[in-house]
Amino acid sequence: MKRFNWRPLVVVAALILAWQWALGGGKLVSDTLAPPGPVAAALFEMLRDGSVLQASFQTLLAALLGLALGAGIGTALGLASGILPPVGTAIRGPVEVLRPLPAIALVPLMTIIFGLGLDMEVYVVAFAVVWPSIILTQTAVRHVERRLLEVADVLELSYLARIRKIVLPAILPRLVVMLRFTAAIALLIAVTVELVSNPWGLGHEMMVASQDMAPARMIAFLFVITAIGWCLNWALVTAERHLLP
Amino acid sequence: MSRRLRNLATDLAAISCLLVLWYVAAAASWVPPAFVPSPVAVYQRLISGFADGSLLVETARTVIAMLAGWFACSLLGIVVGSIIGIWPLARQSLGPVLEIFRPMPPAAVIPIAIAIFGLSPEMSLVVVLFGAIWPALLATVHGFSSVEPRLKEVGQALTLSPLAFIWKIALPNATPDIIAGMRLSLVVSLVLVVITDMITGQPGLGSLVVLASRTFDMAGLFAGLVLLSLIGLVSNAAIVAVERRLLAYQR
Repeated sequence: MKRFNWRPLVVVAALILAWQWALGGGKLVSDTLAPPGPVAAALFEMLRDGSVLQASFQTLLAALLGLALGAGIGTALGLASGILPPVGTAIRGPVEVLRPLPAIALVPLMTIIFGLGLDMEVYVVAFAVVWPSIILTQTAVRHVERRLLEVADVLELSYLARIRKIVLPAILPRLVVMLRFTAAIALLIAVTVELVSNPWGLGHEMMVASQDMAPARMIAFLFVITAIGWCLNWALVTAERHLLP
Repeated sequence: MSRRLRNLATDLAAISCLLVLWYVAAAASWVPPAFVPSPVAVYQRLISGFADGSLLVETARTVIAMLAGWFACSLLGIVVGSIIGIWPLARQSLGPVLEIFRPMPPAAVIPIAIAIFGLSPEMSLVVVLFGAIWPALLATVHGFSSVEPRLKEVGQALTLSPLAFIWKIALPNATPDIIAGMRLSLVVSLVLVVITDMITGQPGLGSLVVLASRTFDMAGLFAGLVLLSLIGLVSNAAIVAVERRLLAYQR
Protein backbone atom coordinates (compact mmCIF):
# COMPACT_ATOMS: atom_id res chain seq x y z
CA MET A 1 0.00 0.00 0.00
CA LYS A 2 1.41 3.33 -1.05
CA ARG A 3 1.68 5.92 1.65
CA PHE A 4 -0.38 9.03 1.15
CA ASN A 5 1.79 11.80 -0.22
CA TRP A 6 0.81 14.86 1.84
CA ARG A 7 3.65 17.11 0.75
CA PRO A 8 1.90 18.68 -2.27
CA LEU A 9 -0.97 19.70 0.02
CA VAL A 10 1.51 21.59 2.19
CA VAL A 11 2.84 23.37 -0.89
CA VAL A 12 -0.68 24.31 -2.02
CA ALA A 13 -1.56 25.54 1.48
CA ALA A 14 1.64 27.58 1.59
CA LEU A 15 0.85 29.10 -1.80
CA ILE A 16 -2.64 30.11 -0.65
CA LEU A 17 -1.24 31.56 2.58
CA ALA A 18 1.38 33.53 0.66
CA TRP A 19 -1.33 34.79 -1.67
CA GLN A 20 -3.49 35.84 1.30
CA TRP A 21 -0.49 37.44 3.00
CA ALA A 22 0.51 39.40 -0.10
CA LEU A 23 -2.94 40.74 -0.98
CA GLY A 24 -5.36 40.08 1.85
CA GLY A 25 -4.09 42.12 4.76
CA GLY A 26 -5.09 45.41 3.24
CA LYS A 27 -1.41 46.20 2.71
CA LEU A 28 -1.95 46.36 -1.00
CA VAL A 29 -5.34 47.57 -2.15
CA SER A 30 -5.62 46.62 -5.75
CA ASP A 31 -8.26 46.75 -8.39
CA THR A 32 -6.26 44.39 -10.56
CA LEU A 33 -5.68 41.46 -8.20
CA ALA A 34 -7.78 39.84 -5.50
CA PRO A 35 -7.03 37.80 -2.39
CA PRO A 36 -8.31 34.22 -2.04
CA GLY A 37 -11.46 35.06 -0.03
CA PRO A 38 -13.20 37.20 -2.66
CA VAL A 39 -12.08 34.79 -5.40
CA ALA A 40 -13.78 31.93 -3.58
CA ALA A 41 -16.88 34.10 -3.11
CA ALA A 42 -16.90 34.97 -6.82
CA LEU A 43 -16.50 31.30 -7.70
CA PHE A 44 -19.45 30.39 -5.47
CA GLU A 45 -21.55 33.21 -6.88
CA MET A 46 -21.05 32.21 -10.50
CA LEU A 47 -21.74 28.58 -9.71
CA ARG A 48 -24.97 29.65 -8.02
CA ASP A 49 -26.26 31.89 -10.83
CA GLY A 50 -25.18 29.35 -13.45
CA SER A 51 -23.21 31.81 -15.58
CA VAL A 52 -20.15 29.62 -15.35
CA LEU A 53 -22.06 26.58 -16.56
CA GLN A 54 -23.27 28.33 -19.67
CA ALA A 55 -19.79 29.66 -20.47
CA SER A 56 -18.22 26.26 -19.87
CA PHE A 57 -20.79 24.63 -22.11
CA GLN A 58 -20.01 27.05 -24.93
CA THR A 59 -16.27 26.55 -24.62
CA LEU A 60 -16.53 22.77 -24.39
CA LEU A 61 -18.94 22.61 -27.32
CA ALA A 62 -16.53 24.50 -29.58
CA ALA A 63 -13.53 22.54 -28.33
CA LEU A 64 -15.17 19.13 -28.80
CA LEU A 65 -16.64 19.92 -32.23
CA GLY A 66 -13.25 21.23 -33.36
CA LEU A 67 -11.58 18.17 -31.89
CA ALA A 68 -13.97 15.84 -33.71
CA LEU A 69 -13.44 17.63 -37.02
CA GLY A 70 -9.67 18.02 -36.70
CA ALA A 71 -8.93 14.60 -35.26
CA GLY A 72 -11.30 12.98 -37.78
CA ILE A 73 -9.59 14.56 -40.78
CA GLY A 74 -6.15 14.06 -39.23
CA THR A 75 -6.71 10.39 -38.46
CA ALA A 76 -8.07 9.75 -41.95
CA LEU A 77 -5.08 11.45 -43.58
CA GLY A 78 -2.69 9.71 -41.21
CA LEU A 79 -4.23 6.31 -41.97
CA ALA A 80 -4.21 6.92 -45.71
CA SER A 81 -0.60 8.05 -45.68
CA GLY A 82 0.45 5.16 -43.47
CA ILE A 83 -1.14 2.57 -45.73
CA LEU A 84 -0.52 4.15 -49.12
CA PRO A 85 3.09 5.41 -49.11
CA PRO A 86 2.55 7.79 -52.09
CA VAL A 87 -0.08 9.67 -50.06
CA GLY A 88 2.38 9.97 -47.21
CA THR A 89 5.04 11.36 -49.56
CA ALA A 90 2.58 13.79 -51.10
CA ILE A 91 1.29 15.32 -47.87
CA ARG A 92 4.59 15.44 -45.99
CA GLY A 93 5.80 18.71 -47.52
CA PRO A 94 2.54 20.64 -47.16
CA VAL A 95 2.11 19.36 -43.58
CA GLU A 96 5.60 20.53 -42.64
CA VAL A 97 4.90 23.98 -44.07
CA LEU A 98 1.43 24.49 -42.59
CA ARG A 99 2.05 22.91 -39.20
CA PRO A 100 4.28 25.65 -37.73
CA LEU A 101 1.59 28.29 -38.35
CA PRO A 102 0.08 29.22 -34.96
CA ALA A 103 -3.62 28.37 -35.24
CA ILE A 104 -4.57 31.51 -33.34
CA ALA A 105 -3.06 33.64 -36.13
CA LEU A 106 -5.91 32.32 -38.29
CA VAL A 107 -8.55 33.96 -36.08
CA PRO A 108 -8.64 37.23 -38.07
CA LEU A 109 -8.94 35.37 -41.39
CA MET A 110 -11.59 32.97 -40.06
CA THR A 111 -13.50 35.89 -38.60
CA ILE A 112 -13.65 37.56 -42.00
CA ILE A 113 -14.84 34.37 -43.65
CA PHE A 114 -17.22 32.96 -41.03
CA GLY A 115 -17.91 35.89 -38.73
CA LEU A 116 -17.67 35.63 -34.97
CA GLY A 117 -19.33 32.67 -33.30
CA LEU A 118 -19.21 28.91 -33.09
CA ASP A 119 -18.14 28.13 -36.69
CA MET A 120 -15.03 30.23 -36.61
CA GLU A 121 -13.89 28.81 -33.29
CA VAL A 122 -14.50 25.23 -34.40
CA TYR A 123 -12.42 25.68 -37.55
CA VAL A 124 -9.52 27.27 -35.69
CA VAL A 125 -9.55 24.42 -33.15
CA ALA A 126 -9.72 21.89 -35.97
CA PHE A 127 -6.73 23.51 -37.69
CA ALA A 128 -4.73 23.28 -34.48
CA VAL A 129 -5.70 19.64 -33.90
CA VAL A 130 -5.33 18.27 -37.41
CA TRP A 131 -1.50 18.37 -37.62
CA PRO A 132 -0.67 16.47 -34.44
CA SER A 133 -3.45 14.00 -35.36
CA ILE A 134 -1.89 13.31 -38.75
CA ILE A 135 1.57 12.86 -37.32
CA LEU A 136 0.56 10.73 -34.35
CA THR A 137 -1.61 8.50 -36.55
CA GLN A 138 1.25 8.08 -39.01
CA THR A 139 3.55 7.09 -36.18
CA ALA A 140 0.95 4.65 -34.88
CA VAL A 141 0.53 3.01 -38.28
CA ARG A 142 4.30 2.80 -38.67
CA HIS A 143 4.44 0.82 -35.44
CA VAL A 144 1.95 -1.80 -36.57
CA GLU A 145 3.56 -5.21 -36.49
CA ARG A 146 4.97 -6.05 -39.96
CA ARG A 147 3.72 -9.61 -39.73
CA LEU A 148 0.13 -8.43 -39.28
CA LEU A 149 0.39 -6.56 -42.55
CA GLU A 150 1.86 -9.64 -44.18
CA VAL A 151 -1.17 -11.56 -42.97
CA ALA A 152 -3.31 -8.96 -44.71
CA ASP A 153 -1.26 -9.45 -47.88
CA VAL A 154 -1.67 -13.19 -47.73
CA LEU A 155 -5.41 -12.89 -47.17
CA GLU A 156 -5.50 -10.42 -50.09
CA LEU A 157 -7.59 -8.01 -48.05
CA SER A 158 -8.84 -4.87 -49.74
CA TYR A 159 -7.53 -1.57 -48.41
CA LEU A 160 -10.72 -0.90 -46.48
CA ALA A 161 -10.78 -4.35 -44.93
CA ARG A 162 -7.10 -4.03 -44.12
CA ILE A 163 -7.76 -0.76 -42.26
CA ARG A 164 -10.82 -2.03 -40.47
CA LYS A 165 -9.63 -5.51 -39.53
CA ILE A 166 -5.89 -5.14 -39.04
CA VAL A 167 -4.67 -1.57 -38.73
CA LEU A 168 -7.38 0.06 -36.64
CA PRO A 169 -7.40 -2.54 -33.86
CA ALA A 170 -3.60 -2.44 -33.78
CA ILE A 171 -3.31 1.32 -33.47
CA LEU A 172 -6.27 1.85 -31.12
CA PRO A 173 -4.14 2.32 -27.97
CA ARG A 174 -2.04 4.99 -29.65
CA LEU A 175 -5.16 6.66 -31.04
CA VAL A 176 -6.62 6.95 -27.55
CA VAL A 177 -3.42 8.57 -26.32
CA MET A 178 -3.54 10.87 -29.32
CA LEU A 179 -7.09 11.85 -28.42
CA ARG A 180 -6.03 12.78 -24.90
CA PHE A 181 -3.17 14.87 -26.22
CA THR A 182 -5.27 16.64 -28.84
CA ALA A 183 -8.20 17.22 -26.46
CA ALA A 184 -5.90 19.30 -24.27
CA ILE A 185 -4.86 21.31 -27.34
CA ALA A 186 -8.50 21.76 -28.40
CA LEU A 187 -9.56 23.17 -25.03
CA LEU A 188 -6.54 25.43 -24.92
CA ILE A 189 -7.17 26.81 -28.41
CA ALA A 190 -10.89 27.27 -27.77
CA VAL A 191 -10.23 29.34 -24.64
CA THR A 192 -7.56 31.33 -26.45
CA VAL A 193 -9.85 32.12 -29.40
CA GLU A 194 -12.36 33.45 -26.88
CA LEU A 195 -9.70 35.49 -25.12
CA VAL A 196 -8.57 36.97 -28.42
CA SER A 197 -11.93 37.84 -29.91
CA ASN A 198 -14.83 35.40 -29.91
CA PRO A 199 -17.53 36.91 -27.67
CA TRP A 200 -18.65 33.82 -25.78
CA GLY A 201 -17.33 31.11 -23.49
CA LEU A 202 -14.95 31.07 -20.57
CA GLY A 203 -12.14 32.99 -22.27
CA HIS A 204 -14.47 35.84 -23.13
CA GLU A 205 -15.95 35.94 -19.61
CA MET A 206 -12.44 36.23 -18.27
CA MET A 207 -11.59 39.07 -20.62
CA VAL A 208 -14.81 40.88 -19.66
CA ALA A 209 -14.05 40.46 -15.96
CA SER A 210 -10.59 41.86 -16.58
CA GLN A 211 -11.97 44.92 -18.36
CA ASP A 212 -14.66 45.39 -15.67
CA MET A 213 -11.93 45.61 -13.01
CA ALA A 214 -13.42 42.54 -11.36
CA PRO A 215 -10.20 40.70 -10.45
CA ALA A 216 -11.86 38.16 -8.17
CA ARG A 217 -14.15 37.06 -10.99
CA MET A 218 -11.26 36.99 -13.45
CA ILE A 219 -9.13 34.74 -11.24
CA ALA A 220 -12.13 32.56 -10.46
CA PHE A 221 -12.61 31.97 -14.18
CA LEU A 222 -8.94 31.08 -14.52
CA PHE A 223 -9.47 28.40 -11.87
CA VAL A 224 -12.57 27.12 -13.66
CA ILE A 225 -10.67 26.87 -16.96
CA THR A 226 -7.82 25.00 -15.30
CA ALA A 227 -10.25 22.70 -13.49
CA ILE A 228 -12.02 21.84 -16.75
CA GLY A 229 -8.71 21.06 -18.41
CA TRP A 230 -7.85 18.86 -15.49
CA CYS A 231 -11.24 17.05 -15.57
CA LEU A 232 -11.02 16.51 -19.32
CA ASN A 233 -7.61 14.92 -18.91
CA TRP A 234 -8.82 12.81 -16.01
CA ALA A 235 -11.89 11.64 -17.96
CA LEU A 236 -9.76 10.60 -20.92
CA VAL A 237 -7.20 8.85 -18.74
CA THR A 238 -10.04 6.93 -17.09
CA ALA A 239 -11.57 6.08 -20.46
CA GLU A 240 -8.14 4.92 -21.60
CA ARG A 241 -7.87 2.58 -18.64
CA HIS A 242 -11.30 1.10 -19.27
CA LEU A 243 -10.80 0.72 -23.01
CA LEU A 244 -7.29 -0.65 -22.85
CA PRO A 245 -6.90 -3.20 -20.11
CA MET B 1 22.34 11.95 -48.31
CA SER B 2 20.84 11.36 -51.73
CA ARG B 3 17.78 10.02 -49.94
CA ARG B 4 17.44 13.23 -47.98
CA LEU B 5 17.85 15.27 -51.15
CA ARG B 6 15.18 13.20 -52.87
CA ASN B 7 12.84 13.71 -49.92
CA LEU B 8 13.45 17.44 -50.07
CA ALA B 9 12.74 17.44 -53.80
CA THR B 10 9.44 15.58 -53.40
CA ASP B 11 8.44 17.88 -50.52
CA LEU B 12 9.17 20.95 -52.63
CA ALA B 13 7.26 19.44 -55.53
CA ALA B 14 4.24 18.75 -53.30
CA ILE B 15 4.36 22.29 -51.90
CA SER B 16 4.62 23.70 -55.43
CA CYS B 17 1.56 21.68 -56.43
CA LEU B 18 -0.29 23.20 -53.47
CA LEU B 19 0.79 26.70 -54.56
CA VAL B 20 -0.36 26.04 -58.12
CA LEU B 21 -3.68 24.77 -56.80
CA TRP B 22 -4.00 27.91 -54.70
CA TYR B 23 -3.14 30.06 -57.73
CA VAL B 24 -5.69 28.34 -59.95
CA ALA B 25 -8.35 28.44 -57.22
CA ALA B 26 -7.81 32.17 -56.76
CA ALA B 27 -7.60 32.90 -60.50
CA ALA B 28 -10.74 30.91 -61.30
CA SER B 29 -12.55 32.41 -58.27
CA TRP B 30 -13.36 29.00 -56.77
CA VAL B 31 -12.82 30.74 -53.49
CA PRO B 32 -14.20 34.27 -53.06
CA PRO B 33 -11.36 36.64 -53.99
CA ALA B 34 -12.43 38.89 -51.12
CA PHE B 35 -11.27 36.17 -48.69
CA VAL B 36 -8.37 34.45 -50.41
CA PRO B 37 -5.90 36.51 -52.45
CA SER B 38 -3.79 35.14 -55.27
CA PRO B 39 -0.38 33.80 -54.18
CA VAL B 40 1.15 36.27 -56.62
CA ALA B 41 -0.37 39.19 -54.70
CA VAL B 42 0.94 37.74 -51.43
CA TYR B 43 4.39 37.30 -52.97
CA GLN B 44 4.39 40.89 -54.22
CA ARG B 45 3.32 42.10 -50.79
CA LEU B 46 6.16 40.17 -49.17
CA ILE B 47 8.70 41.60 -51.62
CA SER B 48 7.52 45.19 -51.25
CA GLY B 49 7.23 44.80 -47.47
CA PHE B 50 10.82 43.67 -47.21
CA ALA B 51 12.00 46.28 -49.71
CA ASP B 52 10.60 49.17 -47.65
CA GLY B 53 11.50 47.43 -44.40
CA SER B 54 8.01 47.47 -42.84
CA LEU B 55 7.57 43.68 -42.80
CA LEU B 56 11.19 43.23 -41.82
CA VAL B 57 10.69 45.34 -38.67
CA GLU B 58 7.57 43.45 -37.59
CA THR B 59 9.19 40.09 -38.26
CA ALA B 60 12.29 41.08 -36.31
CA ARG B 61 10.13 42.22 -33.38
CA THR B 62 8.28 38.92 -33.27
CA VAL B 63 11.44 36.84 -33.64
CA ILE B 64 13.28 38.81 -30.93
CA ALA B 65 10.35 38.56 -28.51
CA MET B 66 10.08 34.84 -29.23
CA LEU B 67 13.80 34.19 -28.72
CA ALA B 68 14.00 36.33 -25.56
CA GLY B 69 11.03 34.52 -23.99
CA TRP B 70 12.34 31.15 -25.11
CA PHE B 71 15.80 31.81 -23.75
CA ALA B 72 14.45 32.98 -20.39
CA CYS B 73 12.05 30.08 -19.97
CA SER B 74 14.62 27.50 -21.07
CA LEU B 75 17.12 28.81 -18.55
CA LEU B 76 14.63 28.97 -15.71
CA GLY B 77 13.02 25.68 -16.70
CA ILE B 78 16.33 23.83 -16.77
CA VAL B 79 17.54 25.26 -13.45
CA VAL B 80 14.27 24.67 -11.58
CA GLY B 81 13.64 21.39 -13.37
CA SER B 82 17.04 19.99 -12.48
CA ILE B 83 16.54 20.90 -8.81
CA ILE B 84 13.14 19.22 -8.76
CA GLY B 85 14.42 16.25 -10.73
CA ILE B 86 17.41 15.59 -8.50
CA TRP B 87 16.00 16.32 -5.08
CA PRO B 88 13.38 13.69 -4.12
CA LEU B 89 11.73 15.88 -1.50
CA ALA B 90 11.18 18.68 -4.03
CA ARG B 91 9.93 16.18 -6.55
CA GLN B 92 7.37 14.71 -4.17
CA SER B 93 6.12 18.08 -3.00
CA LEU B 94 6.20 20.10 -6.22
CA GLY B 95 5.58 17.46 -8.88
CA PRO B 96 1.80 17.12 -8.29
CA VAL B 97 1.46 20.90 -7.90
CA LEU B 98 3.04 21.40 -11.30
CA GLU B 99 0.57 18.88 -12.70
CA ILE B 100 -2.26 21.05 -11.33
CA PHE B 101 -0.95 24.12 -13.12
CA ARG B 102 -0.17 22.37 -16.37
CA PRO B 103 -3.67 22.38 -17.96
CA MET B 104 -3.92 26.14 -17.40
CA PRO B 105 -4.07 27.76 -20.84
CA PRO B 106 -1.06 30.10 -21.03
CA ALA B 107 -3.13 32.72 -22.85
CA ALA B 108 -5.46 32.89 -19.84
CA VAL B 109 -2.60 34.47 -17.95
CA ILE B 110 -2.68 37.45 -20.32
CA PRO B 111 -5.53 39.36 -18.59
CA ILE B 112 -3.78 38.93 -15.25
CA ALA B 113 -0.42 39.93 -16.68
CA ILE B 114 -2.02 43.01 -18.24
CA ALA B 115 -3.48 43.85 -14.82
CA ILE B 116 -0.09 43.63 -13.14
CA PHE B 117 2.32 44.90 -15.77
CA GLY B 118 0.15 46.99 -18.07
CA LEU B 119 0.60 46.93 -21.84
CA SER B 120 4.36 46.68 -21.89
CA PRO B 121 7.02 44.48 -23.47
CA GLU B 122 7.73 43.10 -19.97
CA MET B 123 4.15 41.90 -19.84
CA SER B 124 4.54 39.83 -23.00
CA LEU B 125 7.85 38.47 -21.72
CA VAL B 126 6.15 37.36 -18.50
CA VAL B 127 3.33 35.70 -20.43
CA VAL B 128 5.78 33.82 -22.64
CA LEU B 129 7.87 32.91 -19.63
CA PHE B 130 4.90 31.52 -17.73
CA GLY B 131 3.33 29.73 -20.67
CA ALA B 132 6.34 28.32 -22.46
CA ILE B 133 8.27 27.17 -19.42
CA TRP B 134 6.22 23.98 -18.89
CA PRO B 135 7.60 21.79 -21.68
CA ALA B 136 11.21 22.67 -20.81
CA LEU B 137 10.60 22.35 -17.07
CA LEU B 138 8.72 19.04 -17.16
CA ALA B 139 11.11 17.50 -19.67
CA THR B 140 14.07 18.51 -17.49
CA VAL B 141 12.43 17.02 -14.40
CA HIS B 142 11.85 13.81 -16.32
CA GLY B 143 15.38 13.75 -17.70
CA PHE B 144 16.97 14.27 -14.32
CA SER B 145 14.75 11.90 -12.38
CA SER B 146 15.17 9.04 -14.85
CA VAL B 147 18.89 8.57 -14.31
CA GLU B 148 19.71 4.89 -14.46
CA PRO B 149 20.03 3.64 -10.83
CA ARG B 150 23.27 1.89 -11.65
CA LEU B 151 24.75 5.19 -12.82
CA LYS B 152 23.75 6.67 -9.45
CA GLU B 153 25.64 3.86 -7.77
CA VAL B 154 28.62 4.59 -9.97
CA GLY B 155 28.45 8.19 -8.78
CA GLN B 156 28.35 7.06 -5.17
CA ALA B 157 31.21 4.63 -5.66
CA LEU B 158 33.30 7.40 -7.15
CA THR B 159 32.20 9.69 -4.27
CA LEU B 160 31.26 12.39 -6.71
CA SER B 161 30.12 15.65 -5.16
CA PRO B 162 26.50 16.53 -5.96
CA LEU B 163 27.65 19.15 -8.45
CA ALA B 164 30.03 16.75 -10.17
CA PHE B 165 27.23 14.17 -10.27
CA ILE B 166 24.92 16.68 -11.96
CA TRP B 167 27.54 17.81 -14.43
CA LYS B 168 29.04 14.45 -15.32
CA ILE B 169 26.13 12.02 -15.06
CA ALA B 170 22.71 13.61 -14.68
CA LEU B 171 23.02 16.41 -17.23
CA PRO B 172 24.29 14.26 -20.12
CA ASN B 173 21.55 11.80 -19.27
CA ALA B 174 18.90 14.52 -19.34
CA THR B 175 20.12 16.33 -22.46
CA PRO B 176 17.88 14.54 -25.00
CA ASP B 177 14.82 15.25 -22.83
CA ILE B 178 15.84 18.85 -22.25
CA ILE B 179 16.33 19.54 -25.95
CA ALA B 180 13.00 17.93 -26.78
CA GLY B 181 11.36 20.13 -24.14
CA MET B 182 13.12 23.24 -25.40
CA ARG B 183 11.92 22.47 -28.89
CA LEU B 184 8.30 22.42 -27.68
CA SER B 185 8.93 25.55 -25.61
CA LEU B 186 10.07 27.35 -28.75
CA VAL B 187 6.82 26.51 -30.52
CA VAL B 188 4.77 27.70 -27.54
CA SER B 189 6.86 30.89 -27.32
CA LEU B 190 6.02 31.84 -30.90
CA VAL B 191 2.33 31.13 -30.33
CA LEU B 192 2.26 33.21 -27.15
CA VAL B 193 4.12 36.15 -28.68
CA VAL B 194 1.55 36.19 -31.49
CA ILE B 195 -1.38 35.93 -29.07
CA THR B 196 -0.14 38.73 -26.78
CA ASP B 197 0.44 40.93 -29.83
CA MET B 198 -3.08 40.20 -31.03
CA ILE B 199 -4.72 40.92 -27.68
CA THR B 200 -2.69 43.94 -26.66
CA GLY B 201 -2.02 45.44 -30.09
CA GLN B 202 1.70 45.68 -29.46
CA PRO B 203 3.69 45.85 -32.70
CA GLY B 204 4.63 42.52 -34.22
CA LEU B 205 3.30 40.01 -36.71
CA GLY B 206 0.29 39.18 -34.51
CA SER B 207 -1.08 42.70 -34.62
CA LEU B 208 -0.03 43.03 -38.27
CA VAL B 209 -2.39 40.16 -39.09
CA VAL B 210 -5.19 41.69 -36.99
CA LEU B 211 -4.75 45.15 -38.57
CA ALA B 212 -4.65 43.68 -42.07
CA SER B 213 -7.91 41.84 -41.40
CA ARG B 214 -9.59 45.00 -40.11
CA THR B 215 -8.74 46.81 -43.34
CA PHE B 216 -9.63 43.76 -45.46
CA ASP B 217 -6.05 43.74 -46.72
CA MET B 218 -6.02 40.03 -47.50
CA ALA B 219 -2.62 40.06 -49.22
CA GLY B 220 -1.14 41.64 -46.09
CA LEU B 221 -2.90 39.11 -43.86
CA PHE B 222 -1.61 36.15 -45.84
CA ALA B 223 1.87 37.69 -45.97
CA GLY B 224 1.81 37.73 -42.16
CA LEU B 225 0.67 34.10 -42.05
CA VAL B 226 3.43 33.07 -44.47
CA LEU B 227 6.04 34.82 -42.35
CA LEU B 228 4.76 33.20 -39.14
CA SER B 229 4.88 29.78 -40.73
CA LEU B 230 8.41 30.47 -41.99
CA ILE B 231 9.57 31.57 -38.53
CA GLY B 232 8.23 28.34 -37.05
CA LEU B 233 9.76 26.24 -39.82
CA VAL B 234 13.21 27.84 -39.66
CA SER B 235 13.45 27.90 -35.87
CA ASN B 236 12.41 24.27 -35.66
CA ALA B 237 14.89 23.26 -38.35
CA ALA B 238 17.62 25.13 -36.47
CA ILE B 239 16.92 23.37 -33.20
CA VAL B 240 16.73 19.98 -34.94
CA ALA B 241 20.17 20.65 -36.44
CA VAL B 242 21.56 21.56 -33.00
CA GLU B 243 19.94 18.45 -31.54
CA ARG B 244 21.59 16.27 -34.17
CA ARG B 245 24.99 17.74 -33.50
CA LEU B 246 24.73 17.62 -29.69
CA LEU B 247 23.40 14.09 -29.59
CA ALA B 248 25.65 12.72 -32.30
CA TYR B 249 27.46 10.65 -29.65
CA GLN B 250 24.30 8.67 -29.01
CA ARG B 251 24.25 7.11 -32.45
